[in-house]
Amino acid sequence: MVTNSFIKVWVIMAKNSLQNKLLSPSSSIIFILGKLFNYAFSVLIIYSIFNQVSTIKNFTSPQAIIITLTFSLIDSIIQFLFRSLYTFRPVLLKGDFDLDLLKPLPSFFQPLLSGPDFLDVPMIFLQIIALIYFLIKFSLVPSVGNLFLFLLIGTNGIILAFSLHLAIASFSILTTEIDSLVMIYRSLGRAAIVPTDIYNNFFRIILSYVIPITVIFTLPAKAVLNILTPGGITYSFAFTILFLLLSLYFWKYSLKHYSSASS
Amino acid sequence: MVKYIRIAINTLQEYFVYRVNFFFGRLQVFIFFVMFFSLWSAVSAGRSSLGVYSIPQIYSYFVVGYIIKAFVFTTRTADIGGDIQNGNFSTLLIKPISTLKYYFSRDIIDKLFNLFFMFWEFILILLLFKPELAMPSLFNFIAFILFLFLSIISFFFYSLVISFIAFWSEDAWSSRFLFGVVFITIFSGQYIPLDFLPPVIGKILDYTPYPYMFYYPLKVWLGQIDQNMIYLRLLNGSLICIFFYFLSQFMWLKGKQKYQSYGN
Repeated sequence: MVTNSFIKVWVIMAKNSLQNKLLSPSSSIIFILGKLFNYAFSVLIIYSIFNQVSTIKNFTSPQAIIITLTFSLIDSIIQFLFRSLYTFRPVLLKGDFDLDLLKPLPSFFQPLLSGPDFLDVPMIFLQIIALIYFLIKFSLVPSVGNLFLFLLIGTNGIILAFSLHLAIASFSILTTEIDSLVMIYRSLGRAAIVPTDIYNNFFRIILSYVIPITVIFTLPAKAVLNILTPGGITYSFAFTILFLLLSLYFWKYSLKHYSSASS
Repeated sequence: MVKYIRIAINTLQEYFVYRVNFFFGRLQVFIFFVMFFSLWSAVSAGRSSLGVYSIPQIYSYFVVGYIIKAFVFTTRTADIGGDIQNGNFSTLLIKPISTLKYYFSRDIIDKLFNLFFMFWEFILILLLFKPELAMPSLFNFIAFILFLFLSIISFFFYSLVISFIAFWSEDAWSSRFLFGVVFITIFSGQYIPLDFLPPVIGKILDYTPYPYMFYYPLKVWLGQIDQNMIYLRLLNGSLICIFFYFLSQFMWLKGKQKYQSYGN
């Protein structure tokens, strides 16, 4: 029942967000164009790198391209869902967050879920089609079991991304500084454009255990490619549960220390 | 002159107000470097060359590129679009100062402040990664400095042009995102040396200003452009500079006539 009303509110917010985007169609088209260029060139860059070398740490060109495509798809879904974090700072500075806390909604609803970005929706469709096309082209079509595993690990990755976004929102409540922190997450996330296994030890450890970008992006891609080990599956779920609990705790801690901008 | 120095000092003080944000901003740039350096280290592992690049040249491409980015792409002109749209621009227009000089003062201090931090980050990069770097000849070094100078001026006016689009559009950030972020990072060669891309794309990009802001200065540093071609590229770079200067002046004049301020 609570979930139903929660979804209803989310749908209303999503409609508002969509209407907002439709108000300025030219800028929406420019944004989508930018995303399209970014996406196409991400794939082209990986293709061009593998034109110079046949394999990198046992990853072949088709595998790397599938990993890039999967990364882009998951990244777009995350951007679509949690875009409102990018506009949370003005809400905090103006003191409007006080009003959101009074509403019968989860306290993290406003910072994370109140403004899904519909400009990512065309990209998500395109990315799904491109992923299917290249899987067929490279004869890497996953079995039903692998597809199910991909959906499971992918959903798990999105939950972990939620935890990271919540941690950033918590930090912003304590410091009111958020923009660059989000960009750090984006920069680190971009490292998953290639399989994170290829990085040197130090950077790989950061991506796997400190800011677990690997769980969000690389492991779902490995599930599609049928190269995910049972250890990888366990690590994926264990880390997500751990990060979710830690970020919820951090969120509660930050709310306890929240002082309104207007008080 | 004194009032513009005051504007520059005020801009500097803003950075000290939002210290954490500035620190994270620099950290983000550093992480971006580490990511690409690690990626290309992995690509070049166990190899003596990649395409036309020796391994020290590939490392130099990204390490020296880090310096170029701090010199060229740090700017406060990106604020103009937002100021036009939220009405702050009106308060600037009624002040007894030149609006363009106001943004130029902020731009200069932004570059100096970022360069100060880049210097320490650069030392950290050398200590952490100990990259083997390719050094240029004296001629190429001088040409590199000239290219760098042209890149800074070109990007300043290019960024002004993007910001002035806000006079005619509903949203300042969309044009900044496409032309100032996506096109600049992809087409200037920040992700990958442009000669690794399919030749047809390289040829198309040759007719755009983007390679002149990052890729060609690096090619000159690496000694991969012959002397006659350097002169030609410098000439092209200068023409691009002049083109964006006049375009920005034209848009500024027309934009001021079009400007409407909303608010209470």
